[in-house]
Amino acid sequence: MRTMALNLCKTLTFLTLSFLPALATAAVQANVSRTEMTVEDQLSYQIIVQGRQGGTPDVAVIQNFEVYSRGQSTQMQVINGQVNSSITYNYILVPKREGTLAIPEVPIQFGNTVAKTQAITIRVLPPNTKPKSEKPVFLEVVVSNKKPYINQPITYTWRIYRRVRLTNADANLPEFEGFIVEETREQNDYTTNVGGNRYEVSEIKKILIPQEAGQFELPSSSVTVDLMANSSGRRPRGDIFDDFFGRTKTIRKVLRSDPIRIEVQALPTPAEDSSGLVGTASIKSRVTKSNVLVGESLTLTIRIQAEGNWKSVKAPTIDITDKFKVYSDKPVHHELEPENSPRGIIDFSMALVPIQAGTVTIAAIPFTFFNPEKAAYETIMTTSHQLTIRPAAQKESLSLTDKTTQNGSQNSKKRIEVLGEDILPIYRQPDALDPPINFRKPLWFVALITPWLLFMGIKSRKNHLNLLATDVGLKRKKEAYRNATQSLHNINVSAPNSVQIQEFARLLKEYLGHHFNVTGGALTRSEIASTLALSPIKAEVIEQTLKLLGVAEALEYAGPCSSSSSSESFDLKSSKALLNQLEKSLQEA
Amino acid sequence: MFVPKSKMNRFILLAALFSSGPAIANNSVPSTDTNELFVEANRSYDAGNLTKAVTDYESLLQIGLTNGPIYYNLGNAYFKQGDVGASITAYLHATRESPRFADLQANLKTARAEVRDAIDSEEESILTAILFFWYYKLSPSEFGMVAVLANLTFALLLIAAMYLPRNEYIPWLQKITVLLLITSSASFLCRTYFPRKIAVVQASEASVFSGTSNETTVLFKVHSGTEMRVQQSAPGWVRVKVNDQQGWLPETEVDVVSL
Repeated sequence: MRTMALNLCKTLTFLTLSFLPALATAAVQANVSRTEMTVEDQLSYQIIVQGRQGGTPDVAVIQNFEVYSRGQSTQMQVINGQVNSSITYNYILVPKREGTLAIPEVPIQFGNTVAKTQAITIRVLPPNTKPKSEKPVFLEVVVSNKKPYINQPITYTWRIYRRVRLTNADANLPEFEGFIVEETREQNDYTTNVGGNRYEVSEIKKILIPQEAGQFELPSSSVTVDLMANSSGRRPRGDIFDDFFGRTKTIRKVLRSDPIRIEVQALPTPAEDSSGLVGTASIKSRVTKSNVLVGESLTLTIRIQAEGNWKSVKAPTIDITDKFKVYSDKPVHHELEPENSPRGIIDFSMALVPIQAGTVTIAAIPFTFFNPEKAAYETIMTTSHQLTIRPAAQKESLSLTDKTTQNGSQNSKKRIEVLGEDILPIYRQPDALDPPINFRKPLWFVALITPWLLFMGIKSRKNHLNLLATDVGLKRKKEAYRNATQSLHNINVSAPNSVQIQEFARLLKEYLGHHFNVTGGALTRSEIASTLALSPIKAEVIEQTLKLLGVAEALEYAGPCSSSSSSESFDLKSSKALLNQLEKSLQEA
Repeated sequence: MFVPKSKMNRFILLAALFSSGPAIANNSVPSTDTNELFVEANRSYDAGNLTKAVTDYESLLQIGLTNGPIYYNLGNAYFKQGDVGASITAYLHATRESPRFADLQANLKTARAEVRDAIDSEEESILTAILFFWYYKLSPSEFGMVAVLANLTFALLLIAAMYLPRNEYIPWLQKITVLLLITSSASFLCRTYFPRKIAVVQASEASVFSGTSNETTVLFKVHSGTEMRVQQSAPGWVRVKVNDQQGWLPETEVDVVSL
């Protein structure tokens, strides 16, 4: 138990002593591996922090060098119970330029306090002036022409030569302002011999086409590489066991090329019909047929093989529209393996349809370009072509099969190409303002109902007429009043005489006979009295009717002597009203 | 019983006058102000003053001229303004009123091509497509007119059958007319009272929620001009279905068009 307590005390004492330095003031120091170097070299930079932990150096303040971290290490020493600890931060510094460069004071933050390293001055010398063949690795940048003309392509070639193993290569190619840049294939690797030494070469090429005259500087390019070097020197370079046993070390190098000055020359005043080519060219032409019918198509192909800015060559002008209908095709470009500068072949094809018969000559076609070697415009010509045009057997038919179809197949027809999309125009006709139909208006209800009302009306009338046609009694009854009133028009009501009174009595009997469906002439006054008595006609109307009939009978049977007195006592106007009363009463009944 | 021919003609003439009355009444000449507004709207459109054109076309619609061509012109103005949602809404309104207007269909297709969301077309069965091919070929008004004319024709055929000598054509014509009358009347009523409702997104982007609250889960997002079938409505919300996805959209984010 006592032993355990003793051990605990020892441990606590150790821990307390261990942590005491953290509470003390930190000592910060910076070391470099060298103070003089070339711009291609690198140096090791260490920051050693003693007495405190937890801070991290802020190396962003180092502006003149590229800074690469190489990790950190911690040392702890216990001497006579005194614990000393230190942290070492390791960096690789690569100078960005030549001259006397300063590594400034690097701050390290510890809580609220800041400790700083001391500043160090480094002298950076120009690159090693040893011959290239003595260098293990070097960068080379060349251009094919430092005094090109506008639009004359030049080749920018970037090569890295090496005879040691490299890792982590990071190339930085510049921007080329004032030039159009055309990429070539990605990278070309090959082996070459420089000063008796065998080098492996990686090459990148770019085509630069100057756009304006004047002085230009292609900025320097750089590449950062890690060189693999033997640390022991006991084994030959490149031995596989080096890596395995960790006997190689890497040395970071930054290789820089020099800037290149380019003087772009202006072109002389352009020649008329210049094709825009700056370079060299050859031209030839051919026709598919030399003996054709009017209206039959043939193809004229002009082939230009050009070196320089061949992709931007314009089609040569050809004026044969008075002899042919011309349908130009899209030019076809074939790129060739570049030699000194880009080169390729352009085929300009056109379908020609002869308009008239005869012997027609397609004159030599000129092609003008600027030749930088001669510093002058040059014109080259195709050969001329003589064609025999025969009259067409039938009317001209412009079926341009040479152009629109291949292999004579209908399947080679192309779909209509949509060039743009837009909406169709607005509607401007005045009928746009026609009021819309509103079916909620009552008029539409009427329109729906009316045909059926009409139908029902017509149907009802037709049924009625059918009934009248089949029922004689009904028909007599319906027509009784109309016939009676028509007959009444013939009687002079204002001055009645015995004949007219007798006539009225007759039509009254007929009326009643029609109404009761008995033969009117056969009815006697007593029969009428008994028939009317059974009907719901008012008694006074019956009485008047019988009275009228009595007067009429008296006139008929008593003879003309009594006619004057009887006719005077007879009021024919009131008798007409009597007929109306009878009709009304019978209708009501 | 013999009925004089002149009498029968009088009946037919009377019936035709009754039926044509409403149609004549509806084709009244537009007022000068309306004409000027229409011309002015078209002029503004041509001059590129699209805001004024939109305002004028909207004014024509507000005074009751809800015709296909006015909606069509409004859709064009919205499209030129870059408002795809509003243009599709206007074109759909125009489609209801002028379903066979070829320029309208072309412009609607162009506007739909501008919509960001890809929408699967609603597939209907072949039987439905064959039997009801005509359903969206006529506007509701045209169905109404066909119904009124079929009604009149059927009544006249019944009247004619009473007077004309018995023949084999009239019964067939009567059957065809009855079929036309039933079909057109049913179509008119369905299109008027039970239309297919389409919600067109007006906002540049709208969230579709799982319920009628902004607090519910956002199921998916739709963009301006996207057309969705309206399934249900709730105060301030519409339930939509698109590409087999369903959810609720705030009513403020869409315009609902009845087709």
